[in-house]
This record gives sequence, structure tokens and C-alpha cells, in this order.
Amino acid sequence: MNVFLINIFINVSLYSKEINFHAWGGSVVINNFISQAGQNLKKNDIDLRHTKITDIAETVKILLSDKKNNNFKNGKIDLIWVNGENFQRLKKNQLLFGPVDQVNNYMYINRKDASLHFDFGEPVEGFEVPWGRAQFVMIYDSQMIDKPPQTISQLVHFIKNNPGRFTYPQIPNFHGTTFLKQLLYEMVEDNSILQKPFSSCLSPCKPIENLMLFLKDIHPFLWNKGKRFPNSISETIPMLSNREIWLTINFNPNAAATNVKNGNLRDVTRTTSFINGAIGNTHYLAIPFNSSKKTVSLEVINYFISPQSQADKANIEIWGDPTVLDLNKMSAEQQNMFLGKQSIHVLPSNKFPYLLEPHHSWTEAIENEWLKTFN
Amino acid sequence: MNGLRHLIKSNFSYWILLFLFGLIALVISNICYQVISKLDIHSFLFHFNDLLISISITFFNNIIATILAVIIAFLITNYLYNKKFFKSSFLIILISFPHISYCIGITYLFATSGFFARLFAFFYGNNIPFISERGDASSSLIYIIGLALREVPFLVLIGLSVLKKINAMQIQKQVLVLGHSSLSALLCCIFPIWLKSMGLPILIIVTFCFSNYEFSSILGPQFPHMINVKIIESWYSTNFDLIQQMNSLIIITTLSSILALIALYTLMQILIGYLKNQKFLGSNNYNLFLLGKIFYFIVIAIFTIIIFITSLLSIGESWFFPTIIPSSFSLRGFNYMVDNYLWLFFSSIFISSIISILCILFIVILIETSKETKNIYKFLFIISLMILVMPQNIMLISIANLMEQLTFFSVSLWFYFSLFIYIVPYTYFMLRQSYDDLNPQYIHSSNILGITRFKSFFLIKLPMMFNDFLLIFGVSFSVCFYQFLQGIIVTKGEHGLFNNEVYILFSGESIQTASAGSMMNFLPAALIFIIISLRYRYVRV
Repeated sequence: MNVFLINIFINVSLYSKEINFHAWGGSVVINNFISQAGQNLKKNDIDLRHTKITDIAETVKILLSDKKNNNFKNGKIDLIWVNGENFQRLKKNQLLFGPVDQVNNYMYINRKDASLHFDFGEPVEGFEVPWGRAQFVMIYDSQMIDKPPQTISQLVHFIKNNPGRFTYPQIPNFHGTTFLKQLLYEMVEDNSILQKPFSSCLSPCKPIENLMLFLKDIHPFLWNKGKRFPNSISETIPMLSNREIWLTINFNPNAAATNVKNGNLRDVTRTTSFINGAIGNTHYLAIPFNSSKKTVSLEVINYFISPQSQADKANIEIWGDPTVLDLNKMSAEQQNMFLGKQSIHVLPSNKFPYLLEPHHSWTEAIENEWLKTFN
Repeated sequence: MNGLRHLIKSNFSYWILLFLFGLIALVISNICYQVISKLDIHSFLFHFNDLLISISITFFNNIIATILAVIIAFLITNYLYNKKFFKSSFLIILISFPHISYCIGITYLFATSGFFARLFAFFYGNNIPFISERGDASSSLIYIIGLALREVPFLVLIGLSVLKKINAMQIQKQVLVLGHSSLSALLCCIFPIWLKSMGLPILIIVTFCFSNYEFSSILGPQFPHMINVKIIESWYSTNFDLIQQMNSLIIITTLSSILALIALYTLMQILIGYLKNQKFLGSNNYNLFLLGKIFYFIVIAIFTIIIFITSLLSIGESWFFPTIIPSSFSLRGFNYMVDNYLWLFFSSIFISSIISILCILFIVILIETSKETKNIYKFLFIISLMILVMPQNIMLISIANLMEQLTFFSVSLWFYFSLFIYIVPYTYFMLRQSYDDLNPQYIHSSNILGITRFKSFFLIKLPMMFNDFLLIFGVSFSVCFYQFLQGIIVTKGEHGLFNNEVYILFSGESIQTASAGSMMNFLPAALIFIIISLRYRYVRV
């Protein structure tokens, strides 16, 4: 009781094996998965506490403030779910502990796979461990759309012939920006420019200019005539299920299957993507520089990238997030865990080439230009 | 030494208040220092120019929403005061409805696949929703109407006690005796007096308008966003340009809110001056009663439909357009909430209850231990005004900055402090009203009989004011339970109330779970207010 009261007033750690895991808390399926992981970790005497945050940028702020105040040892956050510009900011400010890729189960991860070791063009260098994969997909209502668009010209054709039935999340939402990056890939002749820093694109940057012209052309045909956008891709799920829109974007090839299973989408929902290639990225786990329980956090990371946990995560009945493990590095028994139920709702694997995320500097450039043009 | 001890003892209340005043002043001066030390006129002017449309929209929408809320509140107040005073107890339940759930409910009602669209489809027969063409103008309109209607129950409850206090019936009779119409009595005499007495609740609404995040992000326009949203956007962002805007946004929000208060005050003075010199020939104000009645039923209907729809969403399975009622039901959403958030739910109730009780005790002790109650009131009034005038988002940003500088204290302590200061004004204003209404004859008689102050509080005041205390607790509890920005700005997600979790769930894919959370969120405050309204026939705030 006394310790509890002291804790209210001053910063004192209560439990030695309690891991404070900062992760987005909006998704019921993801929360359930983490909660189940917490139950499993209790066997190792680890108490996994999921702090359900709205945006990982909140965590970045806490860590920046800790560093400013010379709190190098007693940080309250032990593990974070991160990628993209937030990782880049954390790494730049030396707010991460590393290397964390020394955990045992890292042997199942292909160290030569560039898609896992470059986070938005930024080398990971052992400061984070891959946790799950994502690939840009389009989810559609097959009763309303016979032949879904798979190229940019088909998408324009669909949008103009079905006004009001497509939208994307408002920039600077992460998924909205990814959609624009995907369009950039479709529009540029030489993809390699997107792997270089944005500064290498001569001003005025032609690809960005063309992208804005393209958007100006399609916006009047979007949901609400492009004058209002959903705040997130999750918001588009009920819109799709109610047929307010017929096509939406997502970043999880299994999202449609999971949502159909949970009754959030109709059974006629299907998934497709851009035939010339779809942006894929990886999301990671990282340990803050000042976590006081780094060893325990490493144990948790080791658990999360174990074949069993990854198989559960990939299961569309649980979360449906594709694995980061290399099946070739596993035993036959372990591989069998990943051969889950086939679903007509998921994106057919290997049909759509995997494109690397553009260099992270493009994200800010696209966001700023979009905000300048449309805001 | 004895002299000092005596001074401290005799001025106990002042010392405590001085401490609280010092803390609030520290928070305000901290943000002022932060802003001024980082102020770069060039970048401020650049941002100001960049944000001009956003500022104009925010200013216009918030002023119109406030004016609309005041007009509707007066019409309803007038109707309830003259016709159905007892019906006001129903409104008190509505002020306990969480803002987030209300905004989501409004969105769901007016969406092209929402409730009204489904009703239309039922008769029209369309299986696919019409194309949504909501632009910024209609978003602003929905924001104004949504915000205005949300604030009406609060204004009506205070407005009713104002009408009772000024004895509006008596004024009306006197004006009629002088040969003027009842419409003149209402608009030229009662309305100006009522409006003058409503200064404080209007101030609360204006500052809320400029600091709320829920209404402006869910209902407000997007091109551009209102400045309330832009502050939080900058707060979250990793984008350098957006982070740079933060300082300018703090100055702009503060100035806009002060300017809005001045504009409304000027408008109020002009209106009162104009009405005083007018005569209305109408022999009765039947039409105003009718308008009040219509608005009363609109407010009740909107809240009732939202509660009904939210409860259906929380148990409906695969409820797709155009079906009006879900075909199958399940308690999956509630089960999830109970499994994952029950502890947080009860701890939020516990925290809100403790903070509310502490706040009531704090103010009661200050009043009861002081010989000069009037000075205590003045001090508390200044503190409350300081808290209310500064928009909440900016106050909390300042607390977050202080927290980073004074790292010895835990995040929890800052969190509880930021919750506490936001219920001080409500508790103080209501307690003062309650003390003012107490018949001083009882206390005077007890003094003559030599009963100590301590005894007279427990034996006379407490039994007489018990219902008021219950109501004050209910309001303080619901204000605390529905605080939202603290969990984002002060604790940055590390701690929060149940309300924050419901908001996060609304950003996810399961509307059923989020709605179940929303219903649970509504439950504790609603229960308290149902008990209060059952105890009261007339609700007095």
C-alpha cells in the first residue's frame, strides 16, 4: 500500500518483470493478440502491459523528453511497436537500444532480405527487430465491382465511372501517404529515384508535381467530391460494408479476411493490388534507450518472433498479419503451423511484386505538397 | 514564532488558496514564457497568413455555435420555466452523455448509410446508399448545430436557476401591470437580465469551443481543419513544418478565444441596449413557447436517437445498409470490453469519484474554516476564471512542459492534478450557489445558541444541502470522467481514463466494440444523474 502511494507522487518502478509495451490500441484483433501473448508470457514470469496509444509519436515525445532530462536508466517504456518516420526520428536522436537482433529466434529471419533491414530506406542496423509485414492492397466489394482496377489507368477509369465510391485517408495519415507513394511508383518511369533522398529530385520535383495534378483531376470524383476524407483506413471499413464506397485501400493483405470473419465486412469482399508491384513494408519492435528492463524486453521480442507466435499472428482467425520469418529456415513441423486456412478474401501471395518503401524523406515532401495544394 | 503560527492558523484558507493560485499562475506563466522565448515574428506572420482561413472558420463556427446554443437554451428555458419545470430533470441526464459518443452518433445519423438514410431507403427501396457529397460548408453546419445542441442542456439547467433567482414570473406580472405586452416583458426585461447572468456559462462554452478536439475533428470541416485540430496534429506530428507551427497555434488559439469573448460581450451589450428601447406589441408569447417546446423535443429526440443507435450498434452483428434493425445480436463487444477494460473502467470511476469528493471537501473546508467567506469566494473566483479563460489544450500543453522540467514528480501526479484543476471551477460555482441559497437565519440562530461552526455544518448545513452536494458530485464526477485531452497531452498515452480508450477504439475497425465501450462510458454518470433526478422534482444548478 505504501509503495503504491509513493508511486502516485514520485517515479518509482513497482514490478521488476513488468514490460510496458507501447502499441496502437485501436484494433480489437491486435489487442486480443497482444493480450494472448501476455497470457503466454506469464509462464516466463513476465507481465506484459499493453499501453494502448493513439499514435506512436506520443512515445517519441516521451523519449525525447527523457533524454533532455538525462533520464538514461529509468525510462518507463520498455518496448515499442514502430516503423517509418518515427523510427527514423528515434534513430536520429539516439533514442533506441541496440543491437537487438541478437535474440535466439532471429535465426529464422533472413538477414539478407533488404525489405526487412531497411525501414523506409533507413538501414535498421540492429535497432529494431522485424515483427510483421505489410503490402499495399485494395479491398473491394465484388458484387459492385466485376473487374477490380489493377493499374493506375484502370483506377482512374473506375473512379471517374463510379463517382463518390472511392476515397483514401486524409494526409498526413500514414496509409493515405502510402497510397500516394504507390501512385508515385505507378507514375514515375524510373523507380530508382524514389530510393534516393527527396533532395536529389530537382526543384520543381516533376514526380510530385505530376502527382498533385493527378490528384486534382480525380478529387472531384471521390467520396464527398474530395472535400472530406476519412481519418484512417479503419474508418473506411464500415463505409465499404455499407456500400457508401466500393473500393478502399489497406496495408494488410489479410485485412479483408479478418474483417469478414469478425462480421465487419460482407462475405463478397475481395482483395487485389497493383499488378506492376505494390509497396510493402515491415513493422518492427524496438527497445528504448532508457528502458530499465532491457533483458526482459529482449525475452519478449524473442517470444514475438518465435515460429509459434508468428504463426498465431499470421492466422486470419487471430490477426492475419503476414510473417517476417523465412519458412525455409524452419523445420517441417514449424512450417506446418503457417499452412493455415486458405481464404478467398486475402491477396493471392506472390502474384503482386513487392516494392520497397521510397526513401523516408519522400514522406514529408509528399505530405507538405499535399497540404499546400489541398489544405 | 507564536505570531507566525497564529497568522498561519487564522489564514489557513488563504495559504491553501495562495498555493493553488501559485500553481495555476506557474502553469500559465510557463506557457507564456515558452511561447515568448520561442517567438519569431517572421515565422508567426508566415503561419498566421497560412492559417488565416482556418482561423476564420474556427472563429466563425464557434461564435455562431455559441450564439445558437444561447438562443435555443433561452427558448427552452422560457418554455420549461413557464410550462413544464419538472421536465428539466430529464435534461440533466443528457449532460452526462460523453462528447465522443455524441459526435460519432451525429456522424452516424447523417451519413449516407446512416440511420436517416436507412429510414429513407426503407420507403424508397434503394439498396445502395446515395453518393455522399458533404463539403466543408455542410461540415461547418453540422459542427455548429451539433455543438450548439450539445451545450443546450447545460445552459438550460443553469438558465432555469437564473430565471428562478431573478423571479421572472414577478417581473412579467409587473410589466403587464404597467400596460406592456408579455412579449415585451420577456424580450425587453427578462431576456437581458437572464443574458447578463449567463456570462460565466457562456465563457465556459466559448473556451470549450476553442479547445475541444472531439467536435472539430469528427464533425468539423477538413479543408482546412479548424485550429483546435491543427494543434493536436502538430502535437502528434513528426513532420518538421507542422511541429514548427505549434508555437504560432498556441498564440492564435489564445487570441482567438479572447477575441471571441470580447466580440460576444460587445454583441451582448448592443443587443441588450437595443432590446431595452424596444416595445413588442404581441399580446402573448405563445409562438416563443411553441418554439421552445419544438427545440426541447428536438434536443431530447436527437440525444435519444443517438443513445438508441449506439446501443443497437453495440449489440448488432453485421448490420449493413439498408437494414434498419440488425438481424442478429451478440454481446461480443461488451464481452471484449469487460475482458480487457473492466479494471480501467472501475479505476476511472474510482479516480473521478475520489477527485470529485476531494475537490468538494477542499472547497467546503476553505469556506468553513474562514471567517471572511467573501474573500475566499473572490479568490476562488479568480482561480476558476484563470482555469476557464485559458483554452484547455494550451493549459495542458503547459502542464506537459512543466512535467518535463520537474521530473521528480510522477506522471500520475501531474495527471491527477490536471484532472483536479478542471473540476475546481464547476465545483466552486455550484457550491457557492448552494451556500448563497441557504437561509442565513438558521446559521444565525445556531450562533446565538452557541453551536460551533463545525457542529452547525454537520447538524444544519449538511442535511439541508445534501441534495445539492449530490448534484455537485454528479456534475464534478461527469466532468472528470469525460476528460480526454489529459490522456493525450499530459500523459502521452501512458495513463488515461476509460474515455480515452473508447476514443482509440473508434479509430479501429470494430464499430460494435467501440459502441459497447461508448455505452459503458455513458453508464456511470447517467446512473448518478438518474438517481439525482429521481430525488429531485425540480433540478436546481
